[in-house]
Amino acid sequence: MSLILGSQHLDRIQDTLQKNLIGSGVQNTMLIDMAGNIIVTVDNGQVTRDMYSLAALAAANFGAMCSMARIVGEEEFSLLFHKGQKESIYFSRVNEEFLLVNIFDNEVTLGFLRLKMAQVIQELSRVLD
Amino acid sequence: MKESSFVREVENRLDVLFGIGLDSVERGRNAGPDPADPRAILDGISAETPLEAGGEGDRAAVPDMMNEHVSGDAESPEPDPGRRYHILLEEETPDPVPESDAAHPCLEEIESAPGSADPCAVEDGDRRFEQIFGDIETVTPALFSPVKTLKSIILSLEWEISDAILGRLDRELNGLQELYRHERTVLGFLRILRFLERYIQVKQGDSHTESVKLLFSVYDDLERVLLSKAMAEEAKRAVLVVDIGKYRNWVEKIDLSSCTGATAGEDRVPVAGDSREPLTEAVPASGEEDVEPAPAAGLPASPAVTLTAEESEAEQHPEREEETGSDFCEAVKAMEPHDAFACALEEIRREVRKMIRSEFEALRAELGLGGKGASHPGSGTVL
Amino acid sequence: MAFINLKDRVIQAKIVYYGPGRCGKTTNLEYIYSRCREQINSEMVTVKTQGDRTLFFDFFPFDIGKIAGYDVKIQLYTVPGQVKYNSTRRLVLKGVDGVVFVADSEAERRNKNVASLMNLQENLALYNKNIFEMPLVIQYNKRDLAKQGIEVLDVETLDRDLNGVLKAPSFEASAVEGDNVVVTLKKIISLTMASLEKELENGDW
Repeated sequence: MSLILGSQHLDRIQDTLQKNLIGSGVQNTMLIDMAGNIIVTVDNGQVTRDMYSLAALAAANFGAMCSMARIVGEEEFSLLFHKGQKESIYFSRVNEEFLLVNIFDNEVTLGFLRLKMAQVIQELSRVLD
Repeated sequence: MKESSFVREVENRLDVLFGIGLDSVERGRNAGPDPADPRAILDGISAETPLEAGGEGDRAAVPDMMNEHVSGDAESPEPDPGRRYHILLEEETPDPVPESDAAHPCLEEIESAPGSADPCAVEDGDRRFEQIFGDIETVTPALFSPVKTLKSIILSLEWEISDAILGRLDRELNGLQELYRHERTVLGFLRILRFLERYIQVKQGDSHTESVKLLFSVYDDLERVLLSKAMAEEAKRAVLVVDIGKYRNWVEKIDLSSCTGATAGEDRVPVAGDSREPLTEAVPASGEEDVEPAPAAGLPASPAVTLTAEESEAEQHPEREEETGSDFCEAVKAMEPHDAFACALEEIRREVRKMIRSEFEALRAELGLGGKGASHPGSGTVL
Repeated sequence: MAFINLKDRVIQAKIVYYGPGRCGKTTNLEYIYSRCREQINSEMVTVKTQGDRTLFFDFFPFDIGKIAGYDVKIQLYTVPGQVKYNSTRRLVLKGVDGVVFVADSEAERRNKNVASLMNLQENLALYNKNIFEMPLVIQYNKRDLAKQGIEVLDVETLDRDLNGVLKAPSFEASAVEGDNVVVTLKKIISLTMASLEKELENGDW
């Protein structure tokens, strides 16, 4: 089974990410599926990264976290966040199939990003469902 | 199965990439570096290293073999247990202790020894202690001050902004306003924090990026002002004035035209010529706008209470509320610092009135529509 | 699950190299990487133990280039082969579009091959995928061991063990020497693309 998305859907996703996340100071945000495929990736134009490898690792990382949660007896862990000295990565599950990966620097706080994320996820879910 | 042209094209591209179908010379040229033969390398290693126990080669090979053995999925022949045992034994044998160190001096001997209270040694010890535990003289006294709870709430907000945490912040700010009701400087900081907290609570995901940063920045200044023993009152006021300036800049930045639920309120607050947009701020539920929470009962008339008395007058004479940003700035520049400060506080108070009025109208309109405002995360968890 | 981006005209598909521990999955990928790294500007990602065993996966984004107006990107993965890493294998198999099963020709490894193939079938079933309907190529690796005097199973035996029912395309190979590594890859990519085309024609998305 494949996933096919046309311009209209992809544009809406891109606009949502650009407006809500890049506009709030996030450096890179990408929507990926749980297999590690990149659906959409948006950045602030100031950084270049190997997003394909990052997507593969992010999907694996998230998958591993979900498996660990089940072993521990949790349905899931609600926060997957890696804090770096200058940049951090925050993962958000959009639905069963998709994941949003955000890379941001110290100018943006995690709390604020999480606050924004609820709205973003709602909008993305409308496009993807 | 008949291949489509697409698949054929894919295959052709792969042929080109890997040089398939070229002659052997071309293939050789296209081939990558000679792949190393790991088995040959391993064989070479085992041939070179002595097999008797204690050889370097054995030490290198043992961890891999041990890993496989422990995993239960050993894919090489079982390691020689005797050989491993010998390696372990060898590693465990401690070096013989020199006789001179064997007898440790007892405490009395240390105390009575000359130079046992060597000041250099004490300093070194202090320095080492500081390296491990940090300079305890500058350990944040916030932990022992009235802002301890506020600090922990602010730190929580760095991780998660939820209604519950914002509610706690609101209550804590109320309490602190009561505690510092006679200290105008501190009250100024607390009021700015409170406005920001209410803005974020109302706007949720639509909050301006700067709002959260400003909240943290104002808190940091409040903490500095409160906990600094040496700071003079003028200096504290100066810090507050800077924060008021930042707050005003932030007010100018936020675009209320995109606010959901605020449009009805905006119509009721004419601000012709005023570059400052009315701030949206959380309004207590319609039944509560005249009532302050119990801990703050002793506060002077809150903006909400005075609003109900003055609201009708302001609506009839909105022009009295107006004051252009530039006029205010010019006026403030010409004043004495304490007058400027009082003026700034009065300005804040006026703005709060406007905010609450507009937000109240917006809330009325929203309730009338029967819809919710901006979505919010509820418990704050995202996934 | 393959992804087709109609806007940017990109096709992404996932191919996983599967097999028992130390059968040559990573060696396959390393060979492919070494053969085309100059033409394809991507790096290979490996997550492995200190002992050089795959811990999580190896990954190589293989960009074939523009075909029929579409950028075709194949994500090549390997899984850790050791028995204890089954959860990890399951994670990596998520969304797989094609599988290369790498079998170890060494006679001693016969049972491990069979166990690994059964494991593949079970893990695919968890994602409601049928091994009989999945694009699959079997590679009988380490044929070069015979030259070193190590006992290897003949191809007929391996075929009987592993391919008697599946009837998948199979190749004898030596990943270490590079024999038939590219041919295997080419076959699995063809099968995967053909399967994708068929899905699109049938409207299975």
